[in-house]
Amino acid sequence: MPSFDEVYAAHYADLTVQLYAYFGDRQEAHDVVQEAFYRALVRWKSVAEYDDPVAWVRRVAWNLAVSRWRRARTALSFVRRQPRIEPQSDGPGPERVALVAALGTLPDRHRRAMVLHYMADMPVAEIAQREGVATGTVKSWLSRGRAALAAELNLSDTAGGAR
Amino acid sequence: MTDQIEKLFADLRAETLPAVRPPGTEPLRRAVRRRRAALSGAAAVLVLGVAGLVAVMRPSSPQPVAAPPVSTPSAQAPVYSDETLRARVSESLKLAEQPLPGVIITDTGSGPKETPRALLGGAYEIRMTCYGSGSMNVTVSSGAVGTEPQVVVTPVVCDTTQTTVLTVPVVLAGTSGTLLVRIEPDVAGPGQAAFGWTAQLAEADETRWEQAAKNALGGKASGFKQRTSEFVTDGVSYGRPTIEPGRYRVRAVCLGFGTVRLAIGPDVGGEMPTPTDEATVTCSPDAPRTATVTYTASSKGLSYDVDPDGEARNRSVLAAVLESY
Repeated sequence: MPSFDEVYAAHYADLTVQLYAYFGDRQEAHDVVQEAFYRALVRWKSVAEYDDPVAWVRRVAWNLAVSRWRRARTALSFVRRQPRIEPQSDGPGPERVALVAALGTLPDRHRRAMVLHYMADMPVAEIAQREGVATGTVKSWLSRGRAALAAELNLSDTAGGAR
Repeated sequence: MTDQIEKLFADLRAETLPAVRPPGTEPLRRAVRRRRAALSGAAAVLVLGVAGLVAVMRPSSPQPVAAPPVSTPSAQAPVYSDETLRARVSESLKLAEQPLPGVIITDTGSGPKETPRALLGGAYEIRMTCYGSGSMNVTVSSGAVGTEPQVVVTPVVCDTTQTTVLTVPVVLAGTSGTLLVRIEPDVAGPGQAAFGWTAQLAEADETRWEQAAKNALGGKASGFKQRTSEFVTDGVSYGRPTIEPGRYRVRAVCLGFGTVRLAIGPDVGGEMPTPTDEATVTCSPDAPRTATVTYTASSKGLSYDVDPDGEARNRSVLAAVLESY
């Protein structure tokens, strides 16, 4: 049975990077991942018994992400008026910043599917189950997401099949 | 040929990963201890002293800090616009990120203020902050009708250099109750300070209320497609881009206060232009009534929107079920 600290150390950064790609905001990503681990810690005795405790934390983090994103919709205009305090640390280069910005132009579900598939390595079938839609719908989101990103980033979109 | 988009994602991961600095597990363990202490302490204590039970925290800081320095009101202290005061308090309480029931008082220069709020029952964590100069003597009372209120009295020192947030636990017994926050400002004049508070319901109570709302709708009918139950914070759209053509209905109940507008129409992937049917869901803590909207879906799917009014927002839970009939 893994200890909480081991799981935290091994997966905190990876989850945060995924959520950063989704939010486009590192502080938001940190907040959500830290909250997911907090919820895991509160009930660690039972979570640690699961076949895959990391999957539980990931699911909670993404549920929180979706919830926060949706709940923040009307707050966004307020947030944009305020000076944000970004964490002072090295971040990705300009090309990757452009990718995050381009992701931000996608519809919510397309962006989520793209990040889950290409950054969390989640198969199409699992995303479909998560989102409560058919696998064909997820493939369509990924296809549209790729096309939109390619257009935003001036790439020639290669086939890049969904797994 | 290497897939360019896959490569971009891989590069983003590779470049960003080393820059992520986990805050560590110790703040989480402290939060768990604090939460457990708060929840057990709140249930038993009628009058809470300041020293042992008020947690002092700084958001974005990995370590708790000592109590802030005493701030003496001064006529020479800076005067801020109402908008600035509101923004700074809102920022400290992270209201933009996590909408919660609460109040911001910018008019602190004209004597005591009382802000009562009716809320669903449960254990709450009250978070308070003051921006500016001077201090606020704060009294938090809570209780159901006919019961002895809990009372918490604490000074909240105003500051501008550190966004100190004080937290106190309170419990609203029963189905619902009133939370009253009263401030006695100690400031030298208007525009020098603003005070704000929020009430965060314990996760276990949130879950309990969400389950209660589900139960109020009854079991799953034969045409069941989808069910949601959550606290309403702002307008939310639930889309079903692919659904078998046919007749559908959404039934909804709301536990809490105020009203929620329920609308149904085609799924257009964004804001619904014209709903084909809509209804008002009247919220109540203990006697909710079911509202229903119907829609005949084509292959274009359907979506339904919920839009709470100001009374319902952040303090009512709405359960809705989509089913064919």
